[in-house]
Amino acid sequence: MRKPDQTDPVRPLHDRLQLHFDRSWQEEWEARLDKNGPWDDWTLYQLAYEAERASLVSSFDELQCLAHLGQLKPMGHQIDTARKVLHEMRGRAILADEVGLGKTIEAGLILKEYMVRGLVRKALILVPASLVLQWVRELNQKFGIPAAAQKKEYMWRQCDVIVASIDTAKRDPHRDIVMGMEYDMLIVDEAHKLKNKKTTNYKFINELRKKYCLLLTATPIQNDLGELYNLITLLKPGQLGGQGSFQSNFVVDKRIPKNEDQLQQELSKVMIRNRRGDGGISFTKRHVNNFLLTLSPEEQKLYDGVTNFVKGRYEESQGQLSSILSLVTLQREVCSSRDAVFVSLVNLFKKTAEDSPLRPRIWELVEMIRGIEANTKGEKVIELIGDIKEKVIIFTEYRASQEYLLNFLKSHGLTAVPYRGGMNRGKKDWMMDLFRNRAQVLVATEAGGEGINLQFCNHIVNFDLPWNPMRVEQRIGRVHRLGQEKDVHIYNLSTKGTIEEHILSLLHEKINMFELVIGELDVILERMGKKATLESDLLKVLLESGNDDEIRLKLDDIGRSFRGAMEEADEQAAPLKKVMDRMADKTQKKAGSRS
Amino acid sequence: MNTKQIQRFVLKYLEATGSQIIEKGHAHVTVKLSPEADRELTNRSYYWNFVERTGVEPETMTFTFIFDPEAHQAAQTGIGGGQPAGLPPSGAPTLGGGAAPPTPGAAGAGPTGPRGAHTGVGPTGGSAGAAGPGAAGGSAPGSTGAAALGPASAPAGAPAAGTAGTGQPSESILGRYFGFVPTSPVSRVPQDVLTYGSRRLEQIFAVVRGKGRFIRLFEDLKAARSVPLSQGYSSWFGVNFKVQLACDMKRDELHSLGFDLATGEIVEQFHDSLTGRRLTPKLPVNVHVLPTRFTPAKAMILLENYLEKVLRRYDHTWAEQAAERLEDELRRIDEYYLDLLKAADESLRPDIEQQYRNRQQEIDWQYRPRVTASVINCGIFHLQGRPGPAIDENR
Repeated sequence: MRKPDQTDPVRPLHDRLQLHFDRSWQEEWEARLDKNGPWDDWTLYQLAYEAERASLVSSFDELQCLAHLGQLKPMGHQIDTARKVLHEMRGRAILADEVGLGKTIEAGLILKEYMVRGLVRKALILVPASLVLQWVRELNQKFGIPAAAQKKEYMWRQCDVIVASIDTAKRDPHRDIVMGMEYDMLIVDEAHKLKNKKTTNYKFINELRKKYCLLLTATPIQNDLGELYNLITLLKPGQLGGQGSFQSNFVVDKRIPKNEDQLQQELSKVMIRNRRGDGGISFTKRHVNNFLLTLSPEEQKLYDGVTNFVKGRYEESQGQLSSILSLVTLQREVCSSRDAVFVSLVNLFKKTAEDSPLRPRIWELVEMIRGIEANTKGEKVIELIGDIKEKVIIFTEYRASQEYLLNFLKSHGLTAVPYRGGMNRGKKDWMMDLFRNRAQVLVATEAGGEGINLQFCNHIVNFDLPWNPMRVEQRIGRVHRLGQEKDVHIYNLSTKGTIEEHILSLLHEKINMFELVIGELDVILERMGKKATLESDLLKVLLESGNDDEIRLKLDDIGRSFRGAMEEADEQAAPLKKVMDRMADKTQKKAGSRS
Repeated sequence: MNTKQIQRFVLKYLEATGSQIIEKGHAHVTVKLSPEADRELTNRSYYWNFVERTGVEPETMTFTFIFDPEAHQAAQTGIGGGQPAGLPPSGAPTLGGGAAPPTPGAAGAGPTGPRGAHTGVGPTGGSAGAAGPGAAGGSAPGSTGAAALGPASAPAGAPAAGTAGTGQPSESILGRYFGFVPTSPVSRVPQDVLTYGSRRLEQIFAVVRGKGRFIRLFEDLKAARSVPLSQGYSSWFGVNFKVQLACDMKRDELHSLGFDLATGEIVEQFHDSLTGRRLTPKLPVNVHVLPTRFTPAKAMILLENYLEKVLRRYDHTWAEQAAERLEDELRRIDEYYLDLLKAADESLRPDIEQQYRNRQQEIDWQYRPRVTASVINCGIFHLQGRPGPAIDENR
């Protein structure tokens, strides 16, 4: 072996270890020495040394990131997960926690740890387009990671931590730029979308150059063991052997695994799954209260008037759903408040041609609204708030109902704070602050809004119900989530003899959705492919049925098919679920034995 | 780094850049940045370009740096509790107001605006104030202040009552004469939390790293001035090394080495041994520098060799383990890709091979153990005697 030169910047320390001297600073030092200056300030010299000393990472294994997180207090299972990914999985893992357990937090912890240690500088985070801003905000606010949403082409190079949608990244001209980079870390959210090897998304991720890699999904297996194989191969090719040996070792049928113990062992090297109900991760109960209210005669008259109007229009339009959608909204608005329907009717009136025969009919309805003095639901809300005596969130679908409620509550001496999708971020935060510290009631029209955490409140009033079960779930999810310490009470208001009654009975009795575990609905709907169609199914039923009994029968059918699909999906997935659950149990036992 | 250390660190930086401290509290400091610090911290390159080109007097930014958010919050609610500045008179609850409401930060920090005062004395303030924890506590000086002074200074108007509530008597006197006291600029000051790990602190770290790199200093001895004979100083080359030991995980070490340019002697912990001494960039009177035998360049080579020897003695099991992991991982993908290549169509092979090579590179990149030594900063130090804490009579 060649004797290393005394001035060689690279020297062997050990048979498999080299020492590199970084000499990039020397040129400038010599230049300053030659000219005897200019010299830096002594205080700054000391501060520079102090700064290095403060950010020194003195141990290989101790988690550093916790000291760096000011406000955020991660939960036990999140910290355990981060540790395991860092020390056992060496930065390449599938985070497969069930929905609502904070996979984002886990990924953030791992990313932060590597950044603090200087092992990650450039990171690419690929998420569905609708989640880009939420990720950016969480990384910035909770972890102090300067992440940016990709907007302009130059940002790929300039921003070190960049969040983008996979569809953007794989498109020209972005694709070539992204392919030309070396990413210290790649995070893919909703990674179950990468289950098919043949898709461009899969190939794109496979081609990217990355050092550490995290794949986040709540449903690593949906229909087929092959999906899991593909996902793991993306992360660590060969972990489950070649395609052939995987088939012969672990697969009986695409849904039935064999050698489960060995499979689980292999899985547990690359995947972590925490579940609700595992030690330390507990959710409180949900209590559902339904109030079926009787409309006042005036309100009932208006409802009937609007219903007849809508039905008539539907028959005229010969079953064209799209044009009728806004008309059904009228019916739903009557159930909410007269204010809501008033605004829509007036708008409809304005839009209708002046010579149209509809105009006088619409105006008739508007005139009917004038006759209504009290709002049945409004009175009930006041009564409820009085009984509850704690903080309450009231959700409504309509702006006009929201304003009505705010005024109505105020006239009863209750401080209420509004919350809307249209508010800018600062205002939203401010409203949250006010609700937390100074007001008893929040009246919200939007639940999907990211990042609003209302765990300090455990009473929800559904002033009216959305038809999309996902939106109901989102409303509840704002309150019923990790960190909620009390049981959650849900109060549903509906009105007798209206479409609302049917909707509530479908959601509550037939689908049983208020009792579903958080996140389950999402998975079921996705499995059924029902996400888009459930709403229009409902619409059809309501419009085409002659009377209430017919509606009831048809809704029964929908409910039955929903439950059927749910059971079927469950049954099909049972063997796969068993694998996943046993894996989670294992994780759990391990964590238990350590602590 | 704990809160106190961070506070000391940041104050030193602000002082070194010539920034002007406006207000210093237990948990925070309000500071008007010097042009130097403003350029370094505020990312306003366009503005500074404008200043340079037009030659106008630069207007630097004022910041409130908060070192202990909880203590600061507590102090703030103590002052601002009397005026529920967070709740505007009527706009928000009814959704009617088109005007943008103040951001929560500004509302909490600056309860001096006339609007805040209105809510403080007005009827709406009563109910809202009851909901506020600060007022309910009753300990807040602001709340008693506003309640007592509000009616008493009625002719002066509500704004005066508001400022009195914040505990600034001088302004309340002004208020009595002029009726209205313009709110101080402090109420619009952006706030920044400077805890360990915060972005702003990281930024300051980065700035000082870039600015305190190379140095040449002389020890300043008071005693030397009164001694008739010129004092001979020895010259030391001090280098602060950062050593990074990395595989897929990483740890760091600092090595501060000093090299006597006359004798070639090397000492460790050199930086710490300097902290007690008074050092100045100018050659003090009655002092001369003794001749040296080594150039800094030569010293650098010897220091590198010294460091190499130190590192060689370490337990490098971690590197062996990392190397084993590296081989394991390589074996794993070998199996996979060799299988795949065997079965693959001729036309697909180049692609698979490319992918194979990429995976190999990634694994090497991830696991290969390596040690890197870089220099944080270095300098020439002309000292009386040897470095070390033992030179008491000079201090």
